[in-house]
Formats: sequence, structure tokens, C-alpha cells
Amino acid sequence: MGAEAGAPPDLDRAAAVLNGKVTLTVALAGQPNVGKSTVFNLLTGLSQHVGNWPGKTVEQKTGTYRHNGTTIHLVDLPGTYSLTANSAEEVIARDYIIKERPDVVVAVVNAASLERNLYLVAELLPLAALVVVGLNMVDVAADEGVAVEPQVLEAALGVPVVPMTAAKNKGLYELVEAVDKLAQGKLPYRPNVPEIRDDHREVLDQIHALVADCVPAPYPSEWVALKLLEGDDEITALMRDECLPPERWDQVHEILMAHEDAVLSVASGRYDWVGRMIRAAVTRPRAGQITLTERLDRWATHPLWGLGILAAILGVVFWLTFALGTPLQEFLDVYVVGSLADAASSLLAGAPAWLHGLVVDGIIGGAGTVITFLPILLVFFAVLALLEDMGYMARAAYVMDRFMHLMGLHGKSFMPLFLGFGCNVPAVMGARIIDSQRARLLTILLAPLVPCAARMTVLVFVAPIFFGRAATLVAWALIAATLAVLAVVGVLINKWVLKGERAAFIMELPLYHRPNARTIGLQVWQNSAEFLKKAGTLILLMSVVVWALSALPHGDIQTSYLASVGKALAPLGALMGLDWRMLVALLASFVAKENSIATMGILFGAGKDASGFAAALSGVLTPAAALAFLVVQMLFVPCVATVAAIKQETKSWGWTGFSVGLLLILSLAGGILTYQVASLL
Amino acid sequence: MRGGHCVLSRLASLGFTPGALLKVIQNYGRGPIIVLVRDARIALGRGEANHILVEPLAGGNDGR
Repeated sequence: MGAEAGAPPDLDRAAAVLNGKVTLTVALAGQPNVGKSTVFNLLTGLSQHVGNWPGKTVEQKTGTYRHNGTTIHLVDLPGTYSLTANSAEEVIARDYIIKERPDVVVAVVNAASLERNLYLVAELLPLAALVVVGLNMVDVAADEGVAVEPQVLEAALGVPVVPMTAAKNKGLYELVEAVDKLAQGKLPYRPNVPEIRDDHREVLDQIHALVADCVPAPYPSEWVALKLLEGDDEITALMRDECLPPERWDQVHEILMAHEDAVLSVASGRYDWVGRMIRAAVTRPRAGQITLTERLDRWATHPLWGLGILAAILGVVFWLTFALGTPLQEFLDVYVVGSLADAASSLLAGAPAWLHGLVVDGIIGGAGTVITFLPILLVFFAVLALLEDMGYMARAAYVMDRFMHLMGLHGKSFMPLFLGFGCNVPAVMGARIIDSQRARLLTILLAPLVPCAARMTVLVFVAPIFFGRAATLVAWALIAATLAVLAVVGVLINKWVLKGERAAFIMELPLYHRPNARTIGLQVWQNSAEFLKKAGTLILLMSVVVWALSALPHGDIQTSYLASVGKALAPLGALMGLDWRMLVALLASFVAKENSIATMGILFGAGKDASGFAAALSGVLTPAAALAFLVVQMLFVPCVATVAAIKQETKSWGWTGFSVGLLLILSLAGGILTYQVASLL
Repeated sequence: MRGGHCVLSRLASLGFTPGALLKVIQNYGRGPIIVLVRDARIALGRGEANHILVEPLAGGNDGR
């Protein structure tokens, strides 16, 4: 780095105060797979705030970091390959830099694929922000045989370059030091801004002359001209519809039509610039050297072995989740929620019955029970975060691509759908990674058909009561059948409901690398916090509502409003061999899937004793009806938290209603069919 | 290279530009392929790969 080392920290502070600026806003930019989130997590830790970019369903992370008396407000921009409007992420990243004018932009680049990574830097420099390059993953590059000399790169780029290995917490202090000094004007800054290639220089000047006086602040006019030449959708719409007089736009449009190939020329020009920047700084490996990633990928991405490896990994994930999570869940259920209920019971002994019911059955029995699933989710998300951080998830997406194609999706949709086995809510949210609107919507619509941990719990609970030794077989068959329904529904929706083009499958396969405990820990923490927030608000509220419906008007569930609804639906239940109590249990599972067990417990008056419950249940249901019940339970309308997530992500009541209606019809049809067929046997 | 503007723009930013060297790492005749371009491994659907015209070169390929 070019910083003069060893300046005492208090001098820095004095200078900062003198400059009247002790708070810096720093944006973190970078392509995907560069360790940007590791850098962000290390600097901000638990101070980070996760939300959405205004009006967008793209995650926004901000946080603060203190450095020698300077408060650094850090904004994590979405990971993007370029700053052309190919996706919402790219628009967000560039709009932030142009409109919010951060003091410094840190461009995190991956030293192991520097050429591709500097493409983004080539797009950042013309935006007139101060840029510091964080040369990350120096160790990974060394493993691949690539050596980068930071000083040489710094001299070529004309902006500070800081070598670092964020996964090992190396170089971050130096990075922040460079940011601080650059912001105070203590570092030389003479950026070598890329120029357009000669073959389009003249065209660019023509366009610039036509638009310059109409470009709205704060867009740089030369940049707008360049984006028009690149065919950028957003800037084109802005200039055509809002800024340029029609006759002026016609002139610009004519020039653009004559140079439709300019997008490739502009990109080539940037890569020419990148080539000049790295020529002296990078030493490449000898040809023919086989790296770790290549060796692993021979197996992990093989059409046959890759699937085998994926199946084995998924098997281990499930085994770990339930082997570690289930005992913890039971522990929480019995000792924490159970004792809490007992304590509340004795505390409220003198209180009116309704208050007792509200607290013990409504709040503790509803929301409390849902919270006991946290350990299962925790283990599941930790293992998935580990696979993601190591770089494996992209391989899983790659080998699944052929199968996802049958549903008009591609490999990327596999990742969010797989999250659904833990909980459907993150599956719906996770569909954000899919770049095409259509594929994203389809993924969201399919997510509730992935059997989540809560539904599997009901399955594991009910199946042994009726099917004895065949219970495991029945459970697996039901899970397989649910996934088959998912595939068929996917094919049908793709063919009949959604119109539009199939999305392009373009995905980077990152290098494998050692996972970072802190990144995984924070990921798990954020997922859990999100879940607890839902349990504490939405699920709590709904638990109270369901409890109220089951207690009002006379305080007896047999004569409650809920029972009336169940009894009104009895003719429908008869088709599936289910009486009104089972229907009420299904309705209650709308709050949270595992609620159906608790509701059956209340309705059959079996108390807390599991064996008494089993006896009561097997007296009421035939095995055919039990099977029908499980089929309906597996396919039933998504739980309220998932419905809320679908509404939030699709921003449409129409699609949310479609999802609920579709699953309602599917589950009832499935239940009736199962009962009628099974009764014949 | 040819094709829709959006796909072209995305491919170009990933480093698929005329004259760029690329190496096909995996192609089993069906399903997506893996290409090494500018030091990064990119998985491409067969449809997307068809946008890229290549000519063989000793030890590598020349995309255009």
C-alpha cells in the first residue's frame, strides 16, 4: 500500500476533527464470491442491521465500525458482476453510489480471478467516487498458483490497493486505515479511468453532445452516454421517457440502432483496460497444473457421481439435523415450555379461567411450541451455511439443473427449495437469488410444497400410531409423493399458468475454500433472529386468535366457534373419513403445522400423556383415514408465516391467493383420493 | 457472439467478449456445461452456450 505507515492515531483523530468529518459513509462493492460478506461481518459484527433496500426485495445490510475515533458507517452493496441494469441488484448498487455519494467505495476483489473482478472496478471508477481496492483471498490465489503484487497493481490503477485474507482476519485494519486516510486526502489518488475503445469513441462523443444538457443531476453525463451506448434498459427509459425532447431522442435512437454491437465493444474495452492493469502485477500458474477445485469438481459436478455425492450430503444433512435437533426440541418442549406452562398454571391458579387459558393454552401452547423448533432449524441452517460458504452449493445447483429444467426452472432454484426442508419461510425469501422474475415466482409458488421440519414432525408423530412397523416406509413414501406432486405442479404451472421466456442459466462456480466460522455463525444468527421475531409477533398473535376461537363463546372447545366451523365442514371431511375434530386440527395447522398435534390433543381430551393420545386417536380413525389426514397435512395451505413471506416477496395478493387456493385444492383432492382408494383395499 | 441484448450484456460482463480465451472444462453432451473464462468457472445452460461462437486454438479455444 502507498500509505505512510506509523502515523500516531491521535494525530489521525485530530485531522478528522479538523476536517469536520468524524463519520464516514463507506460502501462495500464487489462481485459475488469475493468474500465481501466476510469483510462486512468482521468489521460490523453484531452491530449490523439487516433490512430491505427501499421498495425492493433485495437485502440491505448496514453496520458501524470505529477506527481511531472515526465512526465508519458501512453499507454492504449487493454483489454484482457489473453496473449495467441487468438486475435489481446492479441498479441498487450504482444508484447508491451515484445518488447517496458515499465518502469511499471499497471494491473487494478476489485475487484468484482478478481479471474478471477488476471489470467491476472498471465500472466503478467513472462514477467519480473515491475507490479503495481490497485485494482479498490472497491465500486462495496462492493455492491456485496465482501471485499478485499489490504495489504494482496500485501503481497501475492509481488507487490504494490493500492485500488481505479476510477469512483469516488479515489485512482488515490496513483496509480501514487506507479508507480513513483516503477520505482525509492523505493518500495519493490519481485513478486510471478506463477509456472507451477508439472504434466507438466518436459515437460516444456524438451521443454525449446530444444528451449532455438534459442529463438530470446527479448522474455524470459522460456515464449516461456510455450506458445508452451499452443499451442499459433503465438509463434508456429514463432519457427517452423523462429527460430528452422526443426529436432529440429520435436522433440518439438512430445512432444507437446503427451501433447495436456497441455493448460488446464497450465490455471488450473494459477488459482491455483490465489486461493492462494486471499485466505486470499477476504471475500465472504453469499450464497443466491441476488445482484442488479441479480435482474436487471432477466428482462433484459429474452427471452421475455428482448426483450421488449430492444425495449423500443431503442424507447427512437430514441425519445431523434430526439426530442433533430432535432431542433438543424434545428437551425444550418438556423442560422449558412444559415447566413454563406449569409455572404459569400455578401462578394463575386464582385468576379467571379465560386468563389461564389464554396464557397456558394460547400463548405458551401455541407460540411457545413453535419456538421449540428453533434447534432443528438451527442445525439445518448451520449445515447449509457451511456448504454454501465452502462453495459446494453452486455445484449442487449445477447437477440439479437438468431436473429443474423439466419445470422451466434452472439449477439456481434448487438452493432455496432445499432450504424449504427446514422451513418454507427462508425458502420463499431465498428465491431472491434467482435473476428472472418468472423463475423466481415459480420457485416461490413451489416452495410450500417442500415438506418442512414441522410437517415432518407431525408425520413422524402420527404414522407410528397407525402403521406400526411400516411407519418409516409410509413416512418416506409420503415425502416422496409430496416431492412428486411438487414436480408435477411445477411442470403444469410452467406450461399453463406462467407466460414468458425461460431464464438464462449463467452461474459462477466459486473456488472451494475453507469455511469461515464467523460468517456461518452470523448467517445462523440472522436466520434464527428472523424466526424468533416471527414467533414473537405473527405466530403469537395467530395463536391467541385460534385459542380465542377454540374457547369462545362458552369456554368449551366442543361448543366453540372453531368447532362450529369444523362441524360445518363435516360433509367434506366425510369424503376423507375425517370427523370435525380432525378438520379443526388441520385448520389450526394454518398457524403452524405442528399445531395440529396440539389441537388434536385438546380436542380428544387426551391430556399430555402421549400413549393415551395414541389410543384415543386410533379409536377414531381408520388407517385409510389416517393416511388421508397425513396426505392433506403434507399438502395443506402454507402456514401463516409462509403466506406472509409469499405476500412480501411477490408483492401481490393475487399470487398469494393463488398459492393458498392451489394448495387447498391439491390437499383436499389428494386426501379424498387417498381415502377412497385406500378404503377399497 | 449473438443473441438477445440482455444475455449478451450479462455474458460480456462475465468476460465472454470477442477474442477472449476460454476453455471448456466439462461437457457431457447434455445438461449445462462448465467453461473457464478469465480465471473463473462459469456454468452455462446449453441454450446460453449456443450464443457463443468459438474457434479451436492449440491448447484452448477462442471465443467470439
